Amino acid sequence: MKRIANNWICWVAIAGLIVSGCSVGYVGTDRAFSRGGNSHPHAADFFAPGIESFQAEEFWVIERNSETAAAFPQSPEPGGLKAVVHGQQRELAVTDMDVNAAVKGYIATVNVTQRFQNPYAQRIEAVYVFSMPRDAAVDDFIMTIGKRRIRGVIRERKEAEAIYQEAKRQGYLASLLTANHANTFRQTIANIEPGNYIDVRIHYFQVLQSDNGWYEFFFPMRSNSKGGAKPWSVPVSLHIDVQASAPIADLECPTHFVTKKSLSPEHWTVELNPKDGIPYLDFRLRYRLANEQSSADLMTYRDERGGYFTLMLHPPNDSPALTNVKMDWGAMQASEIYPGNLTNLPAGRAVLMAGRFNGTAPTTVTVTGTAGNQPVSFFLPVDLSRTGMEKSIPKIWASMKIGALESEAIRTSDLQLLGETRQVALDYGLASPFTSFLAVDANEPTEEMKTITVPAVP
Amino acid sequence: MKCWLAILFCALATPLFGQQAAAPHFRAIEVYVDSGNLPLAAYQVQFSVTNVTARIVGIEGGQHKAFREPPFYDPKAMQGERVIIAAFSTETPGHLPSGKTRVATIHIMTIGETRPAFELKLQAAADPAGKRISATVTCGEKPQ
Repeated sequence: MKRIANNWICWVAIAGLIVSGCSVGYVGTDRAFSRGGNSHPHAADFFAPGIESFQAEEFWVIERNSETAAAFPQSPEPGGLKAVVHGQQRELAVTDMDVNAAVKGYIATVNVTQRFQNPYAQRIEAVYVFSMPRDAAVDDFIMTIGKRRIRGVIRERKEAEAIYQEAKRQGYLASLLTANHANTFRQTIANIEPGNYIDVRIHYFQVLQSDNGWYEFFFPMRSNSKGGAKPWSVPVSLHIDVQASAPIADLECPTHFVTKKSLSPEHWTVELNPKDGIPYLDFRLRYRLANEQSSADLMTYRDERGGYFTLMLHPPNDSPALTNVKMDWGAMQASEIYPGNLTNLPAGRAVLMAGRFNGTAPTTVTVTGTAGNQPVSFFLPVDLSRTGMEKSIPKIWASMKIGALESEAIRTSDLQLLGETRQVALDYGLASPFTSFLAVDANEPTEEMKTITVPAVP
Repeated sequence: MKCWLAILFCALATPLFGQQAAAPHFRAIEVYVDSGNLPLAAYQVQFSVTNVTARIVGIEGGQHKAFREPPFYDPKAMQGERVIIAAFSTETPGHLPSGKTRVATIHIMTIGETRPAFELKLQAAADPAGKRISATVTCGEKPQ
């Protein structure tokens, strides 16, 4: 444990950061949620013609709180897409966006493909600041140039930024994806040649929110801009494949017109209706199961690194909050469990846990607690001789570990924990405050012309 | 609170260019697998630069449609500046490459003027039935 007490060291470090332009920290909770109010654009500004009927739906305006803004001096820029031309920002549009998601139980894996086109007569750098769902973890990044596809590699953030700047200086096509804070990302693409377009595909996973038996998939359709949220001005196509663990009773989208198709009682597909091709609301899709939900839902995965699990705990819908929660993992030989201090389950809201395990035999996980004044227990049989195929489970565990380490680092001022955070992000290939995705096309430098920089406006 | 975070962030930053006088060079290294007259359905290759400081900066897919998608890499191995790439295709034998085919291009940045030397190891190659096959792996820098 190493603690920093001397203020002068802090000021030296901050001065260094100001010079280098790097971030000074990370706070897990970065947004304040508030109902639409006078200081924000009117709700009607967000609605496309023909969807006025949704105005009665609940809507949320998202803003950063001042504490977080101060913690992220590198990201005061507004959301959206811009081009930098001769050092000046100009308008640039994402010409197309395709969202392809697969929901399995309570885990969603999502591919988002964005197309950037250079309408100028000079090379440009595109700068795109956009939101991701809360708790989404980016684990893959591919840049497409014509028929060529280059997979980005995960790098320590400062190193990735330095390599990107050098590639940009030398005239190579390069792209960098950095996590500004909890769910805002910054994508830059250097040296897009005149008339050319570049596709960038980002892959992320997220755990669905679960509330009173409903699982909800969320995708932000509006850019997160300074002073409020702005609608996209780019056509979006969206396809979701939903595979539940049991027959689905209700599947609904309260925000957009969609086309739903049932392949089986457990398996549905959902397409965004072309009428909603330019959406003005964040997209929400939710479903609930036909049968009464089980109290707990465990998913396991094992590879050469060992066993990983996620456990979704659902307190009964009609019960009060569960307190004094205790877990007995049976013969799972569970370790490194996050959150590590779970003691309460809020009424009606599911809670996700993730951990490692070494056990290989069938066993039973037991959850005990107090509901009202009554002791409550529920049991979950687990067969560890058979593990699942969901490859995102180790990354969900890693993502939860990163969140726990950051919180603990802030609480204890233990610097080593942040180093550990970076290492976990590198080992599992996740974008984080300390790691970024970088892709450089080293085939040949682009033609020598003066570079202009343009932020992208959706 | 934020001060020590800032200090760590500085400490974590790798001084990649700071003490290097030589300019970095970007290079594209093409990786080929030759499976003779057998269809190639899967491969795993380990790649590293042996004589100069290098950073892997991108991994590109191959020339044949079956391997056009960029191969996956092991992020843990890459921290040692070696990369293990792997890909497989579920295409039928008639739609898989045979003979010598470019399966990937590894984009790197090297420091200094020394021409880089590479070490390649074919860890596995398989046919559409998943059976291991004999193959060779070679690489070469794409001229700019």
